[in-house]
Amino acid sequence: MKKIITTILASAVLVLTTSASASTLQQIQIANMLYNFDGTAGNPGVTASSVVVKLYTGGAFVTPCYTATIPYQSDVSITVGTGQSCTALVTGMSVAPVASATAGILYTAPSNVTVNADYTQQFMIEQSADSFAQGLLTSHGPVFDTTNGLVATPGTVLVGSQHAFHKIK
Amino acid sequence: MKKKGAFIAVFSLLASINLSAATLQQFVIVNQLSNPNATNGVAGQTSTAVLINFYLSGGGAPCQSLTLNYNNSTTVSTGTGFSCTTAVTSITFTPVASAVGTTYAALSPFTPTVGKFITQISINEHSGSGNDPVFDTTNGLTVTPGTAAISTQ
Repeated sequence: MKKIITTILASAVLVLTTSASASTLQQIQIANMLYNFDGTAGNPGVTASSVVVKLYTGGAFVTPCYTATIPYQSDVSITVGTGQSCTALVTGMSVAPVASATAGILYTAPSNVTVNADYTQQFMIEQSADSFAQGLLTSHGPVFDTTNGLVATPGTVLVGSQHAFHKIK
Repeated sequence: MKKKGAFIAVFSLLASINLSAATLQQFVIVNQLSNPNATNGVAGQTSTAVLINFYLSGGGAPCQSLTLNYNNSTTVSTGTGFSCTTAVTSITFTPVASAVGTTYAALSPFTPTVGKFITQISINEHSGSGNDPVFDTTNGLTVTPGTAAISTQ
C-alpha cells in the first residue's frame, strides 16, 4: 500500500515538473508597500494605498491579460504561460494607485514599467525615495491640507524590480 | 376630493389628541459639524457624525441613543410610548472619530429647560478662531481636534 502511494506521488511530481517546464514562461511577483514612510513618527495614517496592477503582452499597453488590485502590505504571484491568464510573454506592467474615498488621490500613477523576458521577476511598489537638494531633505509623500485633511499634493511612486533568474535558453 | 379632506381632518385630530395626551418634550436636532474655515470652503474630512445620548433625572443608562450623521436632522419625542417615557434632563453630544482620528472633542452635557415643549438644537463648530481641527501634512491624521458647540432655541 505504501509503495503504491509513493509511486502515485512520484508520478504526480513528475507530471507537475513536466507541465511547469513545458508551459511556464515567466513568474512575476508583485508586492505593494506604498505608503508615506516619512509620516510623522512613522505613522502612515491614511497614506497606505491599494494599487491596481495590469500586465500586458506584445509590447503595447492596450488590453491587459491580467488585472489585480493589491491592498497595502499584500502581494501577488503570477505565472505566465499556457493555461494561465497571460499565455504569451508579459512585456509591460501599469500601476495605478487607488484614490482614498475620504482624502482623495494620494499618489500619482508612475510611468508604465517594461517587463523583460527573465523567468522570475520581483516588483516592489513603494513611495519614491527621499531626495536631498542643497542640504534639504525632500519627501515624495503626499501632502495634506491642514484645514480639511484632504490631499493637497499627491506623492510619487517608485516601482523597484529585481530579476532572480535569467532567461530560459 | 371631499373624502380626502375628511380623512386629513380625522388624521390631524388623532395626531393632536395623541400629542397632547402623551408627549412631554420634542427635540429637533441638526448636525452641521464641519470646519467652515477649511480651504475653499471644502469641508473634507471634518464633516463629523455625532453620537447623542438622552438621560432621565437620576442618571443611569441613557433612555435613547442615536448617531446623527453630518448634514442630517432628527426629531426625538419624550413621554408615554416613547423611548424616554419621562422628561429628559440631560443630553450628551460625542463627535464620532473617523479614519483620521478624533476630529472634534466631546461637548459638555446639555441641560434642557424644564417645561419647554420644543427645543431646537444645532451642532456646529465653535465660532471664532482656534476652533478648527488641524491635520498632519504628512499622513492626514488629526493633530489637534476642533471644538464643537451647540446652539439652542
